[in-house]
Amino acid sequence: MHIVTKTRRAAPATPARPCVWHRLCLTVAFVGIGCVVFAADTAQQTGESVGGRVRYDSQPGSLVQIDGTSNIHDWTVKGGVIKGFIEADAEFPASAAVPGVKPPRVEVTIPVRTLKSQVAIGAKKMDEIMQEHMNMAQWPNIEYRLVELLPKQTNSAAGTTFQFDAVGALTVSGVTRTNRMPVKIERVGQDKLKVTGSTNLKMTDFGIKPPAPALALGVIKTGDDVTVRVEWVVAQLTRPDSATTAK
Amino acid sequence: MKLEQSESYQVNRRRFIGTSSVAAAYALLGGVELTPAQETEKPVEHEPAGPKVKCAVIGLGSWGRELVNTLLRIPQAELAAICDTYPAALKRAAGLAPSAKPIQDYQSVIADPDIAAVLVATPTHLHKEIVLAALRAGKHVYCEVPFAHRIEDARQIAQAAKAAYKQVFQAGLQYRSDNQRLYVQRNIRSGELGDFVMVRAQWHKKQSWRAASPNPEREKALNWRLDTELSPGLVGEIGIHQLDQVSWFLNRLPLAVCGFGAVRAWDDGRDVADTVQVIMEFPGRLRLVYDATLGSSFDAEQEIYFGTNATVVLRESRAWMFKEPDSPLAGWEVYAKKEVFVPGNETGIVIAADSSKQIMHIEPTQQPAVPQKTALHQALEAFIGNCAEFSAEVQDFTDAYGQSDRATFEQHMAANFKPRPAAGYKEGLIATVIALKANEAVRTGRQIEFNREWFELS
Repeated sequence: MHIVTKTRRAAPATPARPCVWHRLCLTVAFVGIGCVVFAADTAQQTGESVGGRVRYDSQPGSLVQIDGTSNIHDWTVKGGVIKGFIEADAEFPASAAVPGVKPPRVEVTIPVRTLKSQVAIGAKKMDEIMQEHMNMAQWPNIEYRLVELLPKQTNSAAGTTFQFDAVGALTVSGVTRTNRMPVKIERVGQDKLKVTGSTNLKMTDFGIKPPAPALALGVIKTGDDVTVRVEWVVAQLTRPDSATTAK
Repeated sequence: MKLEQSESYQVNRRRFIGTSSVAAAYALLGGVELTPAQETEKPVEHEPAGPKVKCAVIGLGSWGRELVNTLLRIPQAELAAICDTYPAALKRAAGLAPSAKPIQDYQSVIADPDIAAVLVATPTHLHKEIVLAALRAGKHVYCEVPFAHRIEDARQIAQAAKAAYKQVFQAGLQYRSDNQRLYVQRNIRSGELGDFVMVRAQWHKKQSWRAASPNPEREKALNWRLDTELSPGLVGEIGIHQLDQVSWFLNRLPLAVCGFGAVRAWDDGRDVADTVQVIMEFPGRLRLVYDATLGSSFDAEQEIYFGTNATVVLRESRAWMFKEPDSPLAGWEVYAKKEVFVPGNETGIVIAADSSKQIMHIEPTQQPAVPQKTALHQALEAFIGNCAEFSAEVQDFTDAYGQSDRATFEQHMAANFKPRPAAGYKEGLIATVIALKANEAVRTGRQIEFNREWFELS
């Protein structure tokens, strides 16, 4: 991985840097990225054609999960909001299995605040720590933009499931890095796609120091490595509020 | 009037109890105190990350002012408006919250698009009109209990809250948000106490319930609790919190209730009883005996759950367990703080979240945890916090997925929004039905059998 760019959007006044203790779940943030699922509900929805291409928009049922470690116990953060779209030709994803074809346009945004710690007790506190470490006030979203979709193999006899290496620009806490993630794209029904993928990340690659909050059980030191798993469902639909960007 | 008193009152009571024979009594009885863990939810010490929740309090009597005072101490809340039809009440509350806009007409509050949440603390019989209008306007609503003085009105409120699925609705049952009681509830339901044989609860406070007023019209409006047609009575206004707690802790709905009442202390022409006794039957032939009076302050309020293995006593924010000599050893109580109670020299085991065997093993000498926040404070924190997070989740959901059907939306929220503990419209309706029927039993002197349909919504 290398730093591609560092973008900084206009943001409200930066709050005081939180105390080191509170940096726990940061990790969470990473989530976003990659996977894309397309869904388009059948009968009543018709795909929106953009320059001869079909647009698929996010659907409920999407999931982002981040798994991490600490000196006390492993931890998990989940979120159910993946905003974004895929613009591709009508034969996608089968068409993308041919090398050299123009990749689909994929943009994804995941609000950091939608990522929730899954611990039974103290989840709100963990969320606060994560949000502070991810500097959510200044960088409220995790963003991803697909750069290249490299076909791997077709593993469905029916030709409905395809595997790729997705190469994209992943931005977390304002730091953008190139990410390469294996993804599976599955056509579900006629107009819906489900994208699943998983990637390993390091918090420090995005300038995030692994949190080490002091809680009742002592100081919890989180590990630098996290695994981000994404299930993204997208569908063709006609929606008045559909925009061409995922912001 | 609500069960919980102001924080200054609580402090004074705590001091009193701490030095009185009551405390000594329980101390010498040897109870094990039940208290919740302190580390689990530390108070937020900084400004909330998200925007504040703009809210308004409608109804500025003594309890409404308590809501105002409490909201002013919650960083995530922005008290944007206060509302009361009576100018003197409005002026008095404005002294507490000078930055809040004073408004006499509740419809102006509800019409303000900047106000996201309203807290309704008007006289009980005035709740319905305001709550229904607020829900129609898309506001989050905190409605005091009982919801109404008539069950039909309470059902309308609950039905409207159920329909408003993209808004937060919270019933003013503050005990349901109280860490200490949530902890004791788990303890009581654990089976450690054995089989329950009976429950006893009481509320004693010497006060007239009659407020001074400048003219007859105001007198009638102000003293609605003494109007038989409008008042839910002592058991409805005060007892609702304790009756709800018993039903909640036991996880059972009552089957029947009978009651008695009389004007014993304040014979000023009123018809509403100032002293009441209620017997409520739960499944399993388990009965609650409840009494409340405005004629004596002795022994204040408490709830006692008698089990075959142990008895739990709750007094304000503290709880103790008294084990029977032949009860099995659970283990944790070995390390728990104990206090000896008189009379009887019984040993009470402190029930608190901090009484977990792990914590107590580490710090066996630590003092019993005294909650820093009242149940009301925790309830309003839950309401404001839930409003903020629920609204954020709704916004993010809509931004990402557009509009969706109710089932899809609720499925998403069930998976992604974990509310702070609080009573909703279901709990509020159940508590209201229980309290109003108990009051009806007191007024009529006859036994009433509960119909399960009263507790359910279509």
